[in-house]
Amino acid sequence: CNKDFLERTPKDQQVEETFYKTPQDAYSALVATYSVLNWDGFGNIWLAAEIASDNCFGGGGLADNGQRQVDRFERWDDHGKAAWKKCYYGIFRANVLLQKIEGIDFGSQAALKTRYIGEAHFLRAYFYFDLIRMYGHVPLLTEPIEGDNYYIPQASPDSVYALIASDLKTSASLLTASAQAFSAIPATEYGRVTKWAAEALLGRVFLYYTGYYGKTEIPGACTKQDAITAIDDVINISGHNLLTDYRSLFRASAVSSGVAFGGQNNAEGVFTIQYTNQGLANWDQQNGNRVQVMVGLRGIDRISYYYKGWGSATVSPKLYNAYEAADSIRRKASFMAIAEEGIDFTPSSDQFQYTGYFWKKYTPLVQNKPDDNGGDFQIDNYDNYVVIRFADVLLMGAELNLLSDLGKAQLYYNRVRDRAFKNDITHRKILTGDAAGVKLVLEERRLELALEGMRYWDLLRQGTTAAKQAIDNATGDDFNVTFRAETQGLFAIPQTQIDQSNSTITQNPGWIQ
Amino acid sequence: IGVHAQKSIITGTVTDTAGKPLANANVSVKGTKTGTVTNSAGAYSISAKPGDVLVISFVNYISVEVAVEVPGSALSVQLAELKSNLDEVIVVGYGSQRKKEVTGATVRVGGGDLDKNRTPSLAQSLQGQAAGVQVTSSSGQPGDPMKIVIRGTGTNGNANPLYVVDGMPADDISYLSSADIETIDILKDAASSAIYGARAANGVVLITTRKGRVGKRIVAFDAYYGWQNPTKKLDMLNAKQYAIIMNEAAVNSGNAPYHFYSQDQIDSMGAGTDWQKEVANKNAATQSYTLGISGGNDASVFSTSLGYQRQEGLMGIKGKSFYERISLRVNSEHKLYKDIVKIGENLTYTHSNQAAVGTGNIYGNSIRGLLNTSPTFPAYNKDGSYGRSTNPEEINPVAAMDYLNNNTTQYDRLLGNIYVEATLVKGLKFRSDFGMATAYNNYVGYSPVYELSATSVSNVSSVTNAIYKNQNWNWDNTLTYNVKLDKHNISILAGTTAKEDVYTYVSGSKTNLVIPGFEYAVINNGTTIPSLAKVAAGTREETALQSYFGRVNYNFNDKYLLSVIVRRDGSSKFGPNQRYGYFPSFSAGWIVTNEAFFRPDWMSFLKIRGGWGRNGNDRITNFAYQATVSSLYRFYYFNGIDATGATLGTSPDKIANPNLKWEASEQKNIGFDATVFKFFNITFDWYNKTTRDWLIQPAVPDIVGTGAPYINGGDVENKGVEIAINYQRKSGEVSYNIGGNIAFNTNKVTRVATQEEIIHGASGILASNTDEFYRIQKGFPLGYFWGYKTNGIFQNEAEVNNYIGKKGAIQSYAKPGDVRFVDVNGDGEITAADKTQIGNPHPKFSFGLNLSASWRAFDISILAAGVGGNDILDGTRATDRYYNNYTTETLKRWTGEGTSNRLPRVTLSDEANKNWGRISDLYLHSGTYLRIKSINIGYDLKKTLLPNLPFQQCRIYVTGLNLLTFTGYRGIDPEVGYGNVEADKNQWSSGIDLGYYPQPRTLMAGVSVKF
Repeated sequence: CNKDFLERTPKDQQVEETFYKTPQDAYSALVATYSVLNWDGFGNIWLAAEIASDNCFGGGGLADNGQRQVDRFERWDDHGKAAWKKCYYGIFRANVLLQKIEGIDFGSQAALKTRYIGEAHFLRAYFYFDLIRMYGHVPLLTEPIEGDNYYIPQASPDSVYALIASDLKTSASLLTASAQAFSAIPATEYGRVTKWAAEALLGRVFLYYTGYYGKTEIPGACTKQDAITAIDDVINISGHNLLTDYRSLFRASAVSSGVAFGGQNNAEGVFTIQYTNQGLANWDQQNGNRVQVMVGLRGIDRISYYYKGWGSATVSPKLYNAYEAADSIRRKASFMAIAEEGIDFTPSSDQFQYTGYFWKKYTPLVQNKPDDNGGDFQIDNYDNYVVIRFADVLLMGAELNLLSDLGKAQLYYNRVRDRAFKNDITHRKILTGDAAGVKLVLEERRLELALEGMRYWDLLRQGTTAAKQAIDNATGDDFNVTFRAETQGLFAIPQTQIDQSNSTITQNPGWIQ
Repeated sequence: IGVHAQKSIITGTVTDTAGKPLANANVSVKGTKTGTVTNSAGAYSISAKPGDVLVISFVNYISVEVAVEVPGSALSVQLAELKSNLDEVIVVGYGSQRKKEVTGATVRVGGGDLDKNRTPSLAQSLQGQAAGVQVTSSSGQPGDPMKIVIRGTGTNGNANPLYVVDGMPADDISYLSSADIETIDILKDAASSAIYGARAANGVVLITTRKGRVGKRIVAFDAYYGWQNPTKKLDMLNAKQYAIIMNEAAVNSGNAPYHFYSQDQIDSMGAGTDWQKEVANKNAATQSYTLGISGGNDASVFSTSLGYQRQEGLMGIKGKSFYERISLRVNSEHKLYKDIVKIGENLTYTHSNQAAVGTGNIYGNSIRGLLNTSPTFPAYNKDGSYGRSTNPEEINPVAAMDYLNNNTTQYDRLLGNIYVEATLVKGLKFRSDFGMATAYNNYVGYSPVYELSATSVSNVSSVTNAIYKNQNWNWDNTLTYNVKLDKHNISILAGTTAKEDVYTYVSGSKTNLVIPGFEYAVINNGTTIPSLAKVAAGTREETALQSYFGRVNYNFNDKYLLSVIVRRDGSSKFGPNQRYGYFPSFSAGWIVTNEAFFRPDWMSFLKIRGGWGRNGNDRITNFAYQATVSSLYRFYYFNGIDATGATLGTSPDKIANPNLKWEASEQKNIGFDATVFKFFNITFDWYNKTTRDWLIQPAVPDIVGTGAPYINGGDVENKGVEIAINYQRKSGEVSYNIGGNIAFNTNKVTRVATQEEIIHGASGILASNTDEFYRIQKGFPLGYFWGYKTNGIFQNEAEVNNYIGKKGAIQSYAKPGDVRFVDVNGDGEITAADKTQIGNPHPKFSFGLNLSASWRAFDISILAAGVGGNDILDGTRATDRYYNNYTTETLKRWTGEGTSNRLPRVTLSDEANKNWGRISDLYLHSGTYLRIKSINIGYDLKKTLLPNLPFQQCRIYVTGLNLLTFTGYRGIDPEVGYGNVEADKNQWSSGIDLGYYPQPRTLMAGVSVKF
C-alpha cells in the first residue's frame, strides 16, 4: 500500500486551509454571520427585555420556569445562556470573515470586499451591543481565539463600547459607496446591513451608553455630534419613512383591523431580521421567528385570526392603560385585549400571570400559518423582527437634538405622534429643551415601540432608580415584581460560562449567590 | 450367576468421545490396589468380580466409575474431556495456541455454555460467563444494543471491545445467532490484544462460528418457543392517591385546599389508568428455529445453517416493538493439494427487522411517558379514540406510542471471507485472507396527522426513508514459521493488514401522504417537499487502516514461555503528524508443575504468567484533527418569507488540532492458572490498565464561538483482580460442574487535560431544568455522580432556623418538610460549590455463578450473575412538571413532624429550596443485584424412550430466563445501563435510570435434535 491509501479528505465539507479563497467564499462567511441573527426564542434579548421591563410579566404555563425568573430578577439555572452563546457565535463568525478576507483575492470586485467588511463590522457591533447591555462585563474578542487560549477576562465596558462605536462608524463609512435610498434597494437584498442601519444603531448605542453610564460621549469613539449627524443622515437621506397607517406595520395588527399589511420589508424598517418558514419543522435549522410562539395565546388551537402559542410575556395592564383614549389605533394595533375586544378566550387552567392582555404585534396568525406548509408552529413562524424602525430613529433624533435644536426635535417628534393620531394635530405635545422634554420623548417611545424590545433599555438609561420605580409591581400574589437595583439591571452571567472560564470571568454584582 | 462372586478377567477399551483410543489411561478397582493402564489401542484387562466398581481415569478427562455386573464381560468406556482442557487450542488472533502455552489473560466461552443459556442475543449470553467481562443493556427491548465492557471503562468514548468474527473485524455482533457460535475467546489484557494494535484498547472478542468436521454428516435442528413478561412493573400512584397528593402539593405551594380535585371528585375516583398495563404485551412470544448441516471428508469439510428468530417486545401496542432475523451461514474448507494448500470460506447473510418504541434519553422515551403520566384519564374513550387529559399539556402515552413510533429498521448484512493457506516448506505457512462485508440499513419512519396535546401536534403526515450502507474490505497476509529445535519451540508470525471502510448514507422525506398509513410510508406517496434541509441528506465517509505486525512465541520444554508482539498501525483518522502508532507487548509464563522439583500430588498444573503491553483506540470521528468548515444550518433568507431561496453561509465548525494522536492503553497483568485436587481449575489475574490520551472534545467556553477542538485529554486507571474457579466431577451416572467467577475493579481518572481538570457532563438529562450531575474529574471514577449531600428533612421551623452557618441560617428559605442540604464547603450557603461526589456508577465487583449437572437423560444448568457496590441514579420522574405521577414510595413522604426524614413534602413547582431541582443523594440507590439469569432443564429422549430412532440426540428442554432478582434497587431493573447513547456525547455516562424498557422474564420450551 502506498501513502495515499491513508490520505482521506471529507467529502461533504471543506477544510479551513482550502476555503476562504474566493469572493464567493467571503460572502458565504458573511452569510453565516447573518444566520446567527435568527437564533433563539426562549432567552432572546427582545423577549427577555420585554419581560424584564414594566411592559410584560413572565406568563406562560404554571410549570414553565425561566421567564418568571427574568420578570422577577431571580436567578434560575443557567440564566441567560442562550443569548450569551448566540452573541459570541455571531462575533466569532464576523471575526473569522474580517481575518480571512484580507487573504482573498477580489480582483476587479474590490467594491464587494469593502461592502462585506462594512457589513461584518456592523454585525460584530450588533452582537456586542446585545451582549454588553445584557451582561455588562464581557470578554472582548476582535479575532478568533488561537490555540487553547480560552480564558479571557472581562473587558471594561468602555472598551467594549469603544469597539462597538468604532465598528459602526467603520461600517457606515465602508457602506457609503454601496448606499442606496430604500426605494432603490432590490428585494433580494432586504435584510442586508446598510449605511443607514449602521448610523441608526450608532445613535442607539450612543444614547444607551451615555444614559446608562451617565456619560456625555463614548470616550474616543463617538461624540454627541457624531450621533446627531448619523441620525439626521438616516432621517434625511436614507429614503426610509413612516408608513401612513400604524396598523399596517404588523401582520396581526393589519389582518385583525382589516387594513393592508405593509409588508415584511417596508420603508419603515431600517434594520430588519429576516425570518422564514422554510425550516419546515426541522429544529436544527434556526431560521424561524421563535419569539412568536412564546407570545401567542395559550391553551387554544385558534381563535378568530389568532393562532396558538405559549401565552408568555402577558402584557401589564399598566402599559395598556398608559395610552390616551384617542391613541386607540396604536393601542389596538399593539395588544389583544380579551375583554375590551370581546375575544372569545378563556385562559387555560395552567396559564400563569393572566392579565387579560396579550401581544398583538407579532402574535401568530391562522392565516398562512407555518403548519400549512409542513412547518411546525413552534419554530416556523416567520414575521420579520424590525430591530430599528424609522419611528425609533425619529424619536432618537428628537431626543438627541432636544438641547441643541429644539425645532428639529419637535419636528421629528410630531411626525411620530401625528401618524399615531391619523394626522389629527390637536394631539401634538410641545417639547421643551430640558428633562421634561426628554421625559415626553421617552414616554412616546414607550407607546410607539411597545413590545419591540426597547422599553427595558430605555428605563435603564434613565438610571436604576427610575427603572425600579417603573418596574416594581405590587398588585399582589403572582404579579409581585421587585427590581433589584444591586444587579444594575444586568442579567446574571451564565454559571456554566463562569465555571468553564477557569474563574477568569466573574459574576455580576447582585447576582453572586 | 453364582451365589458367591467369582473373580474373572474384565476387558475393554477406553476411548475419547470421538472414539479415539486413549493410551495409558488408568483402570483400577475401587477400594483395592488392583490397577492397570491401557495399551496404545486403548485396551485393558483387569481382574474383578461382579459388584466391584472400576474407576477409569485419564489426565484432563473426566473419570468414570462403572460397576462390574457380568463376570468376564467386556466393559468399554468413553471418557469426556475436562472442560478447561489445557491442551485445548484457543484462538489468539492471527493464529491459535494451546491454552497451556498462553501467557496473556484470555478466557474462552465455549459453544456448550452458550447453548445451555439460551438467550435471544449473543451478547446477553456472555453475561456472567467470564470474569471481568461486564454486559449491560441500554434497554430490554428486542434488538436494542448491549454494552460490553472488559476490565472497566477505559475511555470516554465508545468502550465496546473489538469484535473479530472468523478473522474479520466487525463493529457489532447483533447479527450473529448463538446457535451458530462454536467458541468465543476474549483477549482481556494488552499483552494478548496488542496483536490488534490501534483498535484493541478495550479488549478483543474473537468469535469462531461452527465449522464442519471430518466424519459423519450431522443434521441438527434446534427450536424454542417462549413467553415473556416484565421482570417488574413500577408501582405508581392510582388515581385517588394521585389526586390527594396533587391537592396536598397545591396546599404546600400556597394554594387553597382542594385546588385541583374536590372531595366529591376524589371519592368518585377509582384506581384510574395503569399505563404500564395498557401497553403491556402479555406473554409476548419469543421463538427461534435453526437447521444446521455439517460434515466432511478428507478433502472438504462444511457447515451450513439456516435460522429464523423472532422476539416480541414486552411493551408496545400494535406490534410496535419486535425484532426478527433470518440468517444463512455457509462455512467450508477444502484441501486443494494434499495437506499443503487449503482454501476455505465463511459466508453469512442476515436479514433482520426491528420495530422499536422510543427508549434512551428523556425525549420520546415511551417508558418514561408511562411512568410520568397522571392516572386520571383513560387510555381509550368508549368510542375507541384515545383519551385526553384535561391538562392541555399532558399527553396520553399510549396515543404517543401509537403516533410517534411508526418505524422499522431493516438490516441486511452479507459478510464473508475467503482464505488460502499454503505450507511452503515444513513449518512455514503462508495465509492470505480477504474478507468483505456489506451492511445495509433501511429505516422507514412515518408520522400521521395527530394532536396529542397543545404542544404535540402535527397537521401533516410525513414519511422518512433513510438508507445507510457500510462497505468494507479487509486483507490479511501472514507468514508463520514453527520450528522445534530440541526443547526449543519457536513460532514466528509476521503479517500485514489493510482495511478500508466506506460509509454512505442517504435519506429523504416528504409530507402530506396521499394514502395515509404506515404501510404506505414510501416517499413517492408524499406530496409536499419539505425544506431544503429535510428533503434529502446524504454523506460518504471513508476510513483506511494499514498495519504491519509480528509475534514471536517461544516455549522451552513446556516450562518457560515467552511472547513478544509488535504492531505498527497507520490510520486515516489522524493527521500526517500523528498518523502512525507502535503497539508492543511482552509476556512470559512458567509452568511450575513441569519442573522436577514441583510435582505435588494436590496440584497437577500451575502456570504463572505476567505481561505488559500497549494498545490503542482510534474510535473517533473522521477528520477530528482538521478545522472543517460547515454550511450546515448556516442559511439566511434575505427578503425573509418572500425569498426565492436560502443563501448559504459557511463557517468553521471546530478548532483544528493537527497533533491529535491515538488514545493508548497500557496494561500490566500478572496471573496464574492452576489445577488443584484434580478437579479444581483456578484462574487468577491481577491487572493495572491505564488508558492515556483520550480523544475528547471538552466543552470550551462559548466565547470561543465555535466547536471545541478534539484533544488528547485524559487518563484513567482501571485496576483489579479476577478469580475464576471451576469444579468438575463425574461420579457414576452423575456428572456435574460448578463454576464461579468474580472480578473486582476500581476506576479512577488520573488526568484531565483542561485547566479545571474536569470534563463536564451534560445538563438537562433528567429534565429540561436539571444541572450537570455526572462528570469526569481527576481523582474520581469516570462519570461519577456529582451533587448535593443531604442530611434529612427539616421537621419544623425551629430546625430551619437552627441550621446555622457562617452567615446565619443556611437555608432560611426552606420550609418544614424540605430537605436539609449539607454545606460541604462551610461557606454558610448552599451553592454549586457544595456539590461533591454522591455516588459511583461503576460496580466494585461483578460475578457469575454456574452450576450444571446431568444424570442419565436429564441435564440441568443454572446461571446467576450480578454486580455489587455501584449506585444507580433514579431519574424516572421528571420533576419539572408538577402533574407527573409519582411512585407509591411517595406515600411515605413528609407530611408533618416525625413522618419522614428522607422524602420531602410534595410541592407543585420546585420551590426555593429545590428539594428535587438540586440533584442530591436522594436520587441515588444501591445498584447491587444478583439475578438468576437462567435455569435450563433438559431431557434426552434418545437415551430412554426413543433409543431405536436414528437420532444422535433428541433433547427437549425448558428454560427460564431472569426468573429471580435479588436487589435493593427500587426501579424497574437494576441492570439499567443507560448512559447518553448519542454519538460523541457523554458516552461515558452510566447508571442513570430514566425509565427503562424492562428485561423480559421468559419461560420457554425447546427441542434440540441431531441425526
